[in-house]
Amino acid sequence: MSQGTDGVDRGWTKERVEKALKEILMEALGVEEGRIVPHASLVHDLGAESIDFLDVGFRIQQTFGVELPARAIQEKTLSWRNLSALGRILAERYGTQIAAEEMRQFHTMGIPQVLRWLSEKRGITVQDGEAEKIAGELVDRLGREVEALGFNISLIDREGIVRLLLQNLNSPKIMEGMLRLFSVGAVADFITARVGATQ
Amino acid sequence: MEGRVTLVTGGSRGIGRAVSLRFARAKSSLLINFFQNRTAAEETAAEVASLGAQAHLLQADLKDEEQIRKMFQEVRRLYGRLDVLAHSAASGVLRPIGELTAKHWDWVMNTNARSLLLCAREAASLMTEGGRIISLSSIGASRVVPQYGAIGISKAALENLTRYLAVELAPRGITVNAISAGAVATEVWKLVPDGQEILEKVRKRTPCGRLLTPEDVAETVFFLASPEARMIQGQVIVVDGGYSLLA
Repeated sequence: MSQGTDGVDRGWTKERVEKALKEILMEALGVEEGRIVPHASLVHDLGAESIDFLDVGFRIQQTFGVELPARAIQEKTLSWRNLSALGRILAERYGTQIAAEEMRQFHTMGIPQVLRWLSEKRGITVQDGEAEKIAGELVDRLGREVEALGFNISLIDREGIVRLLLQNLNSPKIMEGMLRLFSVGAVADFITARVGATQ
Repeated sequence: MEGRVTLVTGGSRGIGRAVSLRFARAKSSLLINFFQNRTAAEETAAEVASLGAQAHLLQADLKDEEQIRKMFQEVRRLYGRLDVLAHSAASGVLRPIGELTAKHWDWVMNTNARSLLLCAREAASLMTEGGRIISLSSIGASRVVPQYGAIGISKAALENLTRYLAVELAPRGITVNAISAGAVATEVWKLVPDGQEILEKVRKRTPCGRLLTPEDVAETVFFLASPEARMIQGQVIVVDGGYSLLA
C-alpha cells in the first residue's frame, strides 16, 4: 500500500518520496542537490526561514497530499509566550493560580526569576533544582504535543531548550531549537509514514 | 447575492473565512482559494455547505502567475463567469526594514500586491457590469507600525493599485475598492511575539471600545459587493472602530 491522505494510491516508495522531496527543497530553497542530505537541518544547513516553511509545506501538500505540521509546531512553541503551559505547571506543582495580568511580567524572565517571584509574592517554598525540573517538564509537554503531530521528537535538543528556558522564557532561540526537528531525513520519514510508502 | 459567483482568496481562515461565510449566508456560489492549510479549507467549505451554499476549494500559491491562471481557468470551467472577487490572501514577514532581504520583499509584495493585479486582470475578464473587486488593506499602508514595513508597503501598493484598477474598470460597470481594517483578533496574532499584549493595547485605544471582529470586516466587504455600493469606486474604506482618528 502506498496511499496518500486522500486514499489515492500513487505508488509511492521511500526512494521516490526522497527523490521528490529533494526536488521540492532544491526548488523552494534554491539549494544545490549535494547539500540535501538526510541529516541536513532545513533551517541551519539549508537556510530555510519561516516563510520557506510555507512554501515547502505547500509543495509537499501538492505532491504528496500531506500537511507538514510546521505551523502547528510554531504555534505550540509560541504558546509558551503566552505562558499558559507554565501557568498550568505552576498551578499543579504549587496549587496556586496566577492571573493572566500577573503572568505577563514573566515574559522577559527565566524560570528561576519566576520562582523567586512566587516565593516573594505567594510565600511558596522552592527547593533547589525546581527550576530545572519545571523547564524540563515544559519541554516534555511540548515534545508530547509535537509527537502527537507525528514528528520524531528525538531530534529536539531537550537540554539546550531547558537551558534557554532558565534564561528567558521568550527567547527566539527556543523556536529555532524546535525547528531543528525539520531535518531532511525527518521530513522524508514523516511523509513516508503518511503516504504509506513501501520500502 | 443569491446566485452570484464569489471568489474569496485566502478564504479559509481569519477574515477571509468570515467573508466566505457571509456570502454563504446570502447563498452566493463560493470559490474559496487557500494556500497551505487544507484542513482549515475543508472545515470552512463544510460550514459553507451547512449554510446551504455551494463551495469549491481552489488551492493555489498566489505568488505564482501560472497558478493564478490555472485557478481562474477552474473558475471559468465551473461557472463561466465571476461576479465578486474578494481578495483577502496575505502573508508577511515581521521585522525591521533594515533587516529585510530581497527574498522577504519579493515574497510579501508578490503575495499581497502583485497577486491583486494578476487576480483582478483574470477576474475582470470573467466579469460583466456589476462586477466587484474588493481587497483588504491595513493601517500599515499609510502609518508606520513597528516591524510591519514589508506588509505595510505591500498594502500601500495594493491601495494605489485599487485606484488605478477602479478608473480603468469603471467604464465596464465594475467597481474596485479596498478596506483598511484595524487589528482583528485572528489566529495570525498567535505568531506575533507579544501579540496578545498588542491586541489589548489596540482595544484600549479604540474609541468604539472593542477590537474588530472578522465579521465586522466581512459585512463591509458584503456591502461593497452589493448593488447599493455601485457608486463607491476606487476608495479605501477604513473599518477600525475609530482607532486611526486619534493623534
